[in-house]
Amino acid sequence: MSQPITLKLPPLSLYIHIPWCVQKCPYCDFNSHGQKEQVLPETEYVSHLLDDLTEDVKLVGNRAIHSIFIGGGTPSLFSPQAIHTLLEGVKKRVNLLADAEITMEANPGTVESQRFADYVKAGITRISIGVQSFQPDKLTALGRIHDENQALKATELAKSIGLNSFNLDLMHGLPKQSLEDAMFDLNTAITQQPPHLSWYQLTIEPNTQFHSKPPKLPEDELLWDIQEQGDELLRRAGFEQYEISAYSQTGQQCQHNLNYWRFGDYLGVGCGAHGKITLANENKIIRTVKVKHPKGYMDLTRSYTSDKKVVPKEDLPFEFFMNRFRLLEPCPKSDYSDFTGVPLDKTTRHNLDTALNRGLLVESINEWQVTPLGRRYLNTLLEMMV
Amino acid sequence: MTQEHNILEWYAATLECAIYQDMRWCQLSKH
Repeated sequence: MSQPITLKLPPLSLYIHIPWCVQKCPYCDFNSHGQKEQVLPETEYVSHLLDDLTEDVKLVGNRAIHSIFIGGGTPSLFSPQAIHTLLEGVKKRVNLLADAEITMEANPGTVESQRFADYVKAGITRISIGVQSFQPDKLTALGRIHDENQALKATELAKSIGLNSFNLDLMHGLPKQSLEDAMFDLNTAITQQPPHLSWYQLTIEPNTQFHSKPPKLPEDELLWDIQEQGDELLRRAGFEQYEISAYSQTGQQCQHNLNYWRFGDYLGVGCGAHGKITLANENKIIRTVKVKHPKGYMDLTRSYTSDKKVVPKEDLPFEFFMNRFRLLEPCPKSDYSDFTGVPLDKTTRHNLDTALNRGLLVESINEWQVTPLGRRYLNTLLEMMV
Repeated sequence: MTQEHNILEWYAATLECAIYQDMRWCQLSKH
Protein backbone atom coordinates (compact mmCIF):
# COMPACT_ATOMS: atom_id res chain seq x y z
CA MET A 1 0.00 0.00 0.00
CA SER A 2 1.39 3.43 -0.92
CA GLN A 3 2.14 5.99 1.77
CA PRO A 4 -0.32 8.90 2.10
CA ILE A 5 1.17 12.07 0.67
CA THR A 6 0.78 15.49 2.21
CA LEU A 7 0.06 18.36 -0.14
CA LYS A 8 2.62 21.15 0.03
CA LEU A 9 1.78 24.78 -0.60
CA PRO A 10 3.22 26.11 -3.87
CA PRO A 11 3.95 29.83 -4.38
CA LEU A 12 0.86 32.04 -4.54
CA SER A 13 0.03 34.77 -7.08
CA LEU A 14 -2.87 37.17 -7.58
CA TYR A 15 -4.65 37.82 -10.87
CA ILE A 16 -6.92 40.87 -11.17
CA HIS A 17 -9.22 41.22 -14.17
CA ILE A 18 -10.39 44.56 -15.56
CA PRO A 19 -12.89 43.74 -18.31
CA TRP A 20 -13.26 46.91 -20.37
CA CYS A 21 -11.69 47.85 -23.72
CA VAL A 22 -12.17 50.87 -25.98
CA GLN A 23 -13.60 48.41 -28.48
CA LYS A 24 -13.67 44.65 -28.84
CA CYS A 25 -11.06 43.27 -31.30
CA PRO A 26 -12.36 40.76 -33.87
CA TYR A 27 -10.00 37.96 -32.77
CA CYS A 28 -10.47 38.39 -29.02
CA ASP A 29 -12.33 35.84 -26.92
CA PHE A 30 -11.20 37.25 -23.59
CA ASN A 31 -13.83 38.36 -21.14
CA SER A 32 -13.86 41.97 -22.33
CA HIS A 33 -16.47 44.55 -23.10
CA GLY A 34 -16.33 47.60 -25.39
CA GLN A 35 -16.39 50.88 -23.53
CA LYS A 36 -19.02 52.39 -25.89
CA GLU A 37 -18.43 56.00 -24.81
CA GLN A 38 -19.61 55.25 -21.30
CA VAL A 39 -17.69 56.51 -18.29
CA LEU A 40 -16.03 53.53 -16.67
CA PRO A 41 -17.20 52.80 -13.13
CA GLU A 42 -13.59 52.56 -11.94
CA THR A 43 -14.12 53.68 -8.35
CA GLU A 44 -17.03 51.30 -7.91
CA TYR A 45 -15.22 48.44 -9.64
CA VAL A 46 -12.04 48.86 -7.58
CA SER A 47 -14.14 48.75 -4.44
CA HIS A 48 -15.71 45.47 -5.65
CA LEU A 49 -12.30 44.02 -6.50
CA LEU A 50 -11.11 44.68 -2.97
CA ASP A 51 -14.25 43.20 -1.42
CA ASP A 52 -13.81 40.18 -3.69
CA LEU A 53 -10.21 39.86 -2.50
CA THR A 54 -11.29 40.13 1.14
CA GLU A 55 -13.46 37.05 0.59
CA ASP A 56 -10.70 35.13 -1.20
CA VAL A 57 -8.10 35.89 1.46
CA LYS A 58 -10.04 33.61 3.80
CA LEU A 59 -8.80 30.73 1.63
CA VAL A 60 -5.12 31.59 1.92
CA GLY A 61 -4.66 33.27 5.29
CA ASN A 62 -1.31 34.99 5.56
CA ARG A 63 0.43 33.18 2.69
CA ALA A 64 2.85 35.43 0.81
CA ILE A 65 1.83 36.76 -2.60
CA HIS A 66 4.77 36.53 -5.04
CA SER A 67 3.30 38.32 -8.04
CA ILE A 68 0.29 40.30 -9.24
CA PHE A 69 -0.98 40.50 -12.81
CA ILE A 70 -3.60 43.11 -13.74
CA GLY A 71 -5.03 41.92 -17.04
CA GLY A 72 -8.00 42.61 -19.25
CA GLY A 73 -9.58 44.00 -21.28
CA THR A 74 -7.43 47.08 -21.18
CA PRO A 75 -6.41 47.88 -17.59
CA SER A 76 -4.64 51.05 -18.77
CA LEU A 77 -8.11 52.54 -19.31
CA PHE A 78 -8.19 52.85 -15.53
CA SER A 79 -6.52 55.96 -14.13
CA PRO A 80 -3.25 55.76 -12.18
CA GLN A 81 -5.22 56.93 -9.13
CA ALA A 82 -7.55 53.93 -9.46
CA ILE A 83 -4.60 51.55 -9.80
CA HIS A 84 -2.97 53.20 -6.78
CA THR A 85 -6.14 52.71 -4.70
CA LEU A 86 -6.35 49.12 -5.90
CA LEU A 87 -2.75 48.25 -5.02
CA GLU A 88 -2.88 50.01 -1.65
CA GLY A 89 -6.05 48.06 -0.87
CA VAL A 90 -4.37 44.81 -1.93
CA LYS A 91 -1.40 45.51 0.36
CA LYS A 92 -3.76 46.02 3.30
CA ARG A 93 -5.41 42.66 2.70
CA VAL A 94 -2.59 40.30 1.75
CA ASN A 95 1.01 39.58 2.62
CA LEU A 96 2.55 41.01 -0.55
CA LEU A 97 6.28 40.34 -0.84
CA ALA A 98 8.38 43.50 -1.05
CA ASP A 99 9.98 42.41 -4.33
CA ALA A 100 6.77 41.09 -5.90
CA GLU A 101 6.47 41.46 -9.66
CA ILE A 102 3.40 43.63 -10.35
CA THR A 103 2.45 43.64 -14.03
CA MET A 104 -0.27 45.64 -15.76
CA GLU A 105 -1.40 45.23 -19.37
CA ALA A 106 -1.46 48.39 -21.47
CA ASN A 107 -2.69 49.19 -24.93
CA PRO A 108 -0.37 51.51 -26.90
CA GLY A 109 -3.38 53.61 -27.89
CA THR A 110 -4.25 54.42 -24.29
CA VAL A 111 -0.96 55.57 -22.83
CA GLU A 112 0.89 58.83 -22.55
CA SER A 113 4.12 59.61 -20.74
CA GLN A 114 2.73 61.08 -17.53
CA ARG A 115 0.16 58.32 -17.25
CA PHE A 116 2.84 55.61 -17.62
CA ALA A 117 5.03 57.30 -14.99
CA ASP A 118 2.08 57.56 -12.62
CA TYR A 119 1.39 53.82 -12.93
CA VAL A 120 4.93 53.21 -11.71
CA LYS A 121 4.34 55.57 -8.79
CA ALA A 122 1.17 53.60 -8.04
CA GLY A 123 3.29 50.47 -7.62
CA ILE A 124 3.39 48.85 -11.06
CA THR A 125 6.83 47.28 -11.67
CA ARG A 126 6.27 45.76 -15.11
CA ILE A 127 4.08 46.61 -18.10
CA SER A 128 2.86 44.27 -20.80
CA ILE A 129 2.21 46.18 -24.01
CA GLY A 130 -0.26 44.76 -26.52
CA VAL A 131 1.58 45.74 -29.71
CA GLN A 132 0.53 42.71 -31.86
CA SER A 133 2.16 44.10 -35.04
CA PHE A 134 4.19 47.06 -36.26
CA GLN A 135 2.53 47.05 -39.70
CA PRO A 136 -0.46 49.35 -40.25
CA ASP A 137 -2.46 46.99 -42.49
CA LYS A 138 -2.08 44.15 -39.96
CA LEU A 139 -3.14 46.39 -37.07
CA THR A 140 -6.20 47.46 -39.07
CA ALA A 141 -7.04 43.83 -39.87
CA LEU A 142 -6.80 43.02 -36.15
CA GLY A 143 -9.12 45.92 -35.28
CA ARG A 144 -6.53 47.54 -33.06
CA ILE A 145 -7.02 51.19 -32.13
CA HIS A 146 -3.32 52.07 -32.18
CA ASP A 147 -0.88 52.58 -35.04
CA GLU A 148 2.75 51.52 -35.36
CA ASN A 149 4.07 54.89 -34.18
CA GLN A 150 2.07 54.66 -30.98
CA ALA A 151 3.42 51.15 -30.47
CA LEU A 152 6.99 52.42 -30.80
CA LYS A 153 6.27 55.39 -28.54
CA ALA A 154 4.78 53.14 -25.85
CA THR A 155 7.89 50.96 -26.00
CA GLU A 156 10.18 53.97 -25.64
CA LEU A 157 8.15 55.17 -22.69
CA ALA A 158 8.33 51.78 -21.03
CA LYS A 159 12.12 51.98 -21.23
CA SER A 160 12.28 55.41 -19.66
CA ILE A 161 10.09 55.35 -16.57
CA GLY A 162 11.96 53.10 -14.17
CA LEU A 163 10.11 49.82 -14.65
CA ASN A 164 11.88 46.62 -13.63
CA SER A 165 10.83 45.02 -16.88
CA PHE A 166 8.32 45.14 -19.71
CA ASN A 167 6.82 42.79 -22.26
CA LEU A 168 5.83 43.26 -25.87
CA ASP A 169 2.93 41.12 -27.07
CA LEU A 170 3.35 40.24 -30.72
CA MET A 171 1.23 37.98 -32.93
CA HIS A 172 2.08 36.01 -36.05
CA GLY A 173 0.09 34.03 -38.56
CA LEU A 174 -1.92 37.17 -39.30
CA PRO A 175 -4.27 37.66 -42.27
CA LYS A 176 -2.21 38.17 -45.47
CA GLN A 177 1.04 37.97 -43.51
CA SER A 178 4.12 36.89 -45.46
CA LEU A 179 7.31 35.46 -43.96
CA GLU A 180 8.96 38.85 -44.56
CA ASP A 181 6.10 40.64 -42.77
CA ALA A 182 6.44 38.39 -39.74
CA MET A 183 10.23 38.84 -39.62
CA PHE A 184 9.80 42.62 -40.00
CA ASP A 185 7.59 42.64 -36.90
CA LEU A 186 10.03 40.53 -34.93
CA ASN A 187 13.04 42.57 -36.04
CA THR A 188 11.29 45.80 -35.11
CA ALA A 189 10.46 44.38 -31.70
CA ILE A 190 14.02 43.14 -31.18
CA THR A 191 15.38 46.59 -32.07
CA GLN A 192 13.41 47.95 -29.12
CA GLN A 193 15.33 45.55 -26.82
CA PRO A 194 12.38 44.44 -24.70
CA PRO A 195 13.36 42.31 -21.68
CA HIS A 196 10.45 39.99 -22.55
CA LEU A 197 8.64 39.09 -25.75
CA SER A 198 5.43 37.13 -26.00
CA TRP A 199 5.22 35.87 -29.59
CA TYR A 200 2.15 33.83 -30.32
CA GLN A 201 0.18 32.59 -33.27
CA LEU A 202 -3.24 34.01 -34.09
CA THR A 203 -5.89 31.34 -33.68
CA ILE A 204 -9.55 31.75 -34.53
CA GLU A 205 -11.66 31.21 -31.45
CA PRO A 206 -15.41 30.59 -31.13
CA ASN A 207 -17.53 33.59 -30.17
CA THR A 208 -15.32 36.08 -32.00
CA GLN A 209 -15.95 38.20 -35.08
CA PHE A 210 -13.19 36.28 -36.88
CA HIS A 211 -15.00 33.03 -36.18
CA SER A 212 -18.23 34.19 -37.82
CA LYS A 213 -16.38 35.86 -40.71
CA PRO A 214 -13.00 34.11 -40.96
CA PRO A 215 -10.12 35.98 -42.60
CA LYS A 216 -7.73 34.11 -44.88
CA LEU A 217 -4.78 33.04 -42.78
CA PRO A 218 -1.33 31.80 -43.89
CA GLU A 219 -1.09 28.13 -44.92
CA ASP A 220 0.48 25.60 -42.53
CA GLU A 221 3.72 25.47 -44.51
CA LEU A 222 4.19 29.23 -44.21
CA LEU A 223 3.29 29.10 -40.52
CA TRP A 224 6.00 26.50 -40.04
CA ASP A 225 8.57 28.71 -41.78
CA ILE A 226 7.54 31.72 -39.72
CA GLN A 227 7.92 29.71 -36.53
CA GLU A 228 11.28 28.20 -37.48
CA GLN A 229 12.84 31.44 -38.69
CA GLY A 230 11.32 33.46 -35.89
CA ASP A 231 12.73 31.09 -33.27
CA GLU A 232 16.16 31.37 -34.86
CA LEU A 233 15.99 35.15 -35.10
CA LEU A 234 15.03 35.45 -31.44
CA ARG A 235 17.72 33.01 -30.36
CA ARG A 236 20.39 34.95 -32.24
CA ALA A 237 19.14 38.16 -30.62
CA GLY A 238 19.76 36.68 -27.18
CA PHE A 239 16.22 35.69 -26.29
CA GLU A 240 15.62 32.42 -24.53
CA GLN A 241 12.35 30.59 -25.06
CA TYR A 242 11.08 29.41 -21.68
CA GLU A 243 7.46 28.63 -22.49
CA ILE A 244 5.58 27.74 -25.67
CA SER A 245 4.95 31.34 -26.65
CA ALA A 246 7.23 33.29 -24.33
CA TYR A 247 10.80 34.48 -24.83
CA SER A 248 12.93 36.57 -22.54
CA GLN A 249 16.36 37.93 -21.94
CA THR A 250 18.29 36.22 -19.14
CA GLY A 251 16.49 36.45 -15.83
CA GLN A 252 13.53 38.34 -17.27
CA GLN A 253 10.93 35.57 -17.38
CA CYS A 254 7.45 36.60 -16.28
CA GLN A 255 7.28 35.25 -12.73
CA HIS A 256 3.50 35.36 -12.71
CA ASN A 257 3.25 33.25 -15.85
CA LEU A 258 5.87 30.81 -14.58
CA ASN A 259 3.80 30.26 -11.47
CA TYR A 260 0.75 29.25 -13.54
CA TRP A 261 2.70 26.60 -15.44
CA ARG A 262 4.62 25.35 -12.42
CA PHE A 263 1.24 24.38 -10.97
CA GLY A 264 1.42 27.20 -8.48
CA ASP A 265 -1.58 28.67 -6.71
CA TYR A 266 -3.35 31.88 -7.70
CA LEU A 267 -6.21 33.95 -6.47
CA GLY A 268 -8.37 35.35 -9.26
CA VAL A 269 -10.41 38.47 -8.52
CA GLY A 270 -12.58 40.47 -10.91
CA CYS A 271 -15.08 39.55 -13.62
CA GLY A 272 -14.60 35.98 -14.86
CA ALA A 273 -11.27 35.52 -13.05
CA HIS A 274 -10.14 32.01 -12.15
CA GLY A 275 -8.31 30.89 -9.05
CA LYS A 276 -6.52 27.69 -8.05
CA ILE A 277 -5.89 27.21 -4.38
CA THR A 278 -4.25 24.38 -2.46
CA LEU A 279 -5.91 23.71 0.88
CA ALA A 280 -3.17 21.65 2.50
CA ASN A 281 -5.01 21.10 5.78
CA GLU A 282 -7.97 19.64 3.93
CA ASN A 283 -5.70 17.80 1.49
CA LYS A 284 -7.43 19.20 -1.59
CA ILE A 285 -7.05 21.67 -4.44
CA ILE A 286 -9.95 23.90 -5.40
CA ARG A 287 -10.74 26.08 -8.40
CA THR A 288 -12.78 29.26 -8.18
CA VAL A 289 -14.53 31.21 -10.94
CA LYS A 290 -15.94 34.70 -10.53
CA VAL A 291 -19.12 36.11 -12.10
CA LYS A 292 -18.29 36.94 -15.68
CA HIS A 293 -20.36 39.99 -16.66
CA PRO A 294 -19.57 43.33 -14.98
CA LYS A 295 -23.23 43.99 -14.20
CA GLY A 296 -23.66 40.65 -12.41
CA TYR A 297 -20.26 40.93 -10.73
CA MET A 298 -21.12 44.32 -9.24
CA ASP A 299 -24.60 43.20 -8.17
CA LEU A 300 -24.49 43.46 -4.38
CA THR A 301 -27.21 40.84 -3.98
CA ARG A 302 -24.93 38.16 -5.46
CA SER A 303 -21.71 36.49 -4.45
CA TYR A 304 -18.64 37.34 -6.55
CA THR A 305 -17.96 33.62 -6.90
CA SER A 306 -19.99 31.82 -9.55
CA ASP A 307 -18.29 28.44 -9.18
CA LYS A 308 -16.04 26.75 -6.67
CA LYS A 309 -15.11 23.10 -6.95
CA VAL A 310 -12.58 20.58 -5.76
CA VAL A 311 -10.28 19.22 -8.48
CA PRO A 312 -10.89 15.45 -8.54
CA LYS A 313 -7.81 13.45 -7.51
CA GLU A 314 -7.93 11.47 -10.76
CA ASP A 315 -7.59 14.69 -12.81
CA LEU A 316 -4.50 15.91 -10.96
CA PRO A 317 -1.78 13.90 -12.77
CA PHE A 318 -2.82 15.15 -16.19
CA GLU A 319 -3.45 18.68 -14.95
CA PHE A 320 0.02 18.80 -13.45
CA PHE A 321 1.80 17.60 -16.59
CA MET A 322 -0.39 19.65 -18.93
CA ASN A 323 0.76 22.74 -17.12
CA ARG A 324 4.33 21.77 -16.30
CA PHE A 325 5.33 20.49 -19.73
CA ARG A 326 4.57 23.83 -21.36
CA LEU A 327 7.73 25.07 -19.72
CA LEU A 328 11.10 24.28 -21.23
CA GLU A 329 12.87 24.22 -17.87
CA PRO A 330 13.35 20.84 -16.14
CA CYS A 331 10.56 19.76 -13.83
CA PRO A 332 11.68 18.58 -10.38
CA LYS A 333 10.09 15.17 -9.82
CA SER A 334 9.35 16.09 -6.22
CA ASP A 335 6.96 18.83 -7.42
CA TYR A 336 4.63 16.16 -8.76
CA SER A 337 3.61 14.60 -5.46
CA ASP A 338 4.27 17.77 -3.44
CA PHE A 339 1.83 19.86 -5.46
CA THR A 340 -0.76 17.26 -6.48
CA GLY A 341 -0.79 15.23 -3.26
CA VAL A 342 -1.01 11.99 -5.23
CA PRO A 343 1.69 9.34 -5.64
CA LEU A 344 3.21 8.53 -9.00
CA ASP A 345 1.09 5.47 -9.80
CA LYS A 346 1.71 2.68 -12.31
CA THR A 347 -0.41 4.26 -15.04
CA THR A 348 1.38 7.60 -14.84
CA ARG A 349 4.77 5.86 -14.75
CA HIS A 350 3.78 3.88 -17.84
CA ASN A 351 2.68 7.08 -19.61
CA LEU A 352 6.00 8.74 -18.78
CA ASP A 353 7.91 5.71 -20.04
CA THR A 354 6.02 5.86 -23.35
CA ALA A 355 6.98 9.51 -23.75
CA LEU A 356 10.61 8.71 -22.85
CA ASN A 357 10.73 5.91 -25.41
CA ARG A 358 9.35 8.21 -28.10
CA GLY A 359 12.04 10.83 -27.40
CA LEU A 360 9.51 13.44 -26.26
CA LEU A 361 10.91 13.54 -22.75
CA VAL A 362 14.17 12.85 -20.92
CA GLU A 363 14.63 12.14 -17.24
CA SER A 364 17.37 12.17 -14.64
CA ILE A 365 17.19 10.97 -11.05
CA ASN A 366 15.51 14.17 -9.92
CA GLU A 367 13.97 15.77 -13.01
CA TRP A 368 11.92 15.37 -16.17
CA GLN A 369 12.48 17.61 -19.15
CA VAL A 370 10.61 18.03 -22.44
CA THR A 371 12.93 17.53 -25.43
CA PRO A 372 12.90 19.79 -28.53
CA LEU A 373 10.86 17.04 -30.22
CA GLY A 374 8.42 17.01 -27.31
CA ARG A 375 8.11 20.77 -27.52
CA ARG A 376 7.20 20.51 -31.18
CA TYR A 377 4.67 17.75 -30.57
CA LEU A 378 3.42 18.88 -27.20
CA ASN A 379 -0.15 17.81 -27.96
CA THR A 380 1.06 14.26 -28.60
CA LEU A 381 3.09 14.27 -25.41
CA LEU A 382 0.19 15.52 -23.33
CA GLU A 383 -2.27 13.09 -24.86
CA MET A 384 0.02 10.36 -23.57
CA MET A 385 -0.38 11.68 -20.06
CA VAL A 386 -4.18 11.33 -19.92
CA MET B 1 2.37 22.21 -36.25
CA THR B 2 0.23 24.70 -34.46
CA GLN B 3 2.71 26.25 -32.13
CA GLU B 4 0.13 27.59 -29.78
CA HIS B 5 -0.91 23.99 -29.17
CA ASN B 6 -4.60 24.21 -28.52
CA ILE B 7 -4.16 21.69 -25.77
CA LEU B 8 -6.34 23.46 -23.28
CA GLU B 9 -9.18 23.58 -25.79
CA TRP B 10 -8.58 19.97 -26.67
CA TYR B 11 -8.57 19.06 -23.00
CA ALA B 12 -11.77 20.99 -22.46
CA ALA B 13 -13.47 19.19 -25.33
CA THR B 14 -12.14 15.78 -24.35
CA LEU B 15 -12.64 15.90 -20.63
CA GLU B 16 -15.41 18.49 -20.62
CA CYS B 17 -13.40 20.72 -18.39
CA ALA B 18 -15.02 24.08 -19.08
CA ILE B 19 -12.72 25.83 -16.68
CA TYR B 20 -9.66 25.20 -18.83
CA GLN B 21 -11.50 26.20 -21.98
CA ASP B 22 -12.52 29.45 -20.39
CA MET B 23 -9.04 30.05 -19.06
CA ARG B 24 -7.23 29.30 -22.26
CA TRP B 25 -6.66 32.90 -23.16
CA CYS B 26 -8.14 34.74 -20.27
CA GLN B 27 -5.36 34.24 -17.82
CA LEU B 28 -2.85 31.53 -18.45
CA SER B 29 -1.43 32.97 -21.65
CA LYS B 30 -0.82 36.40 -20.22
CA HIS B 31 2.82 37.39 -19.87
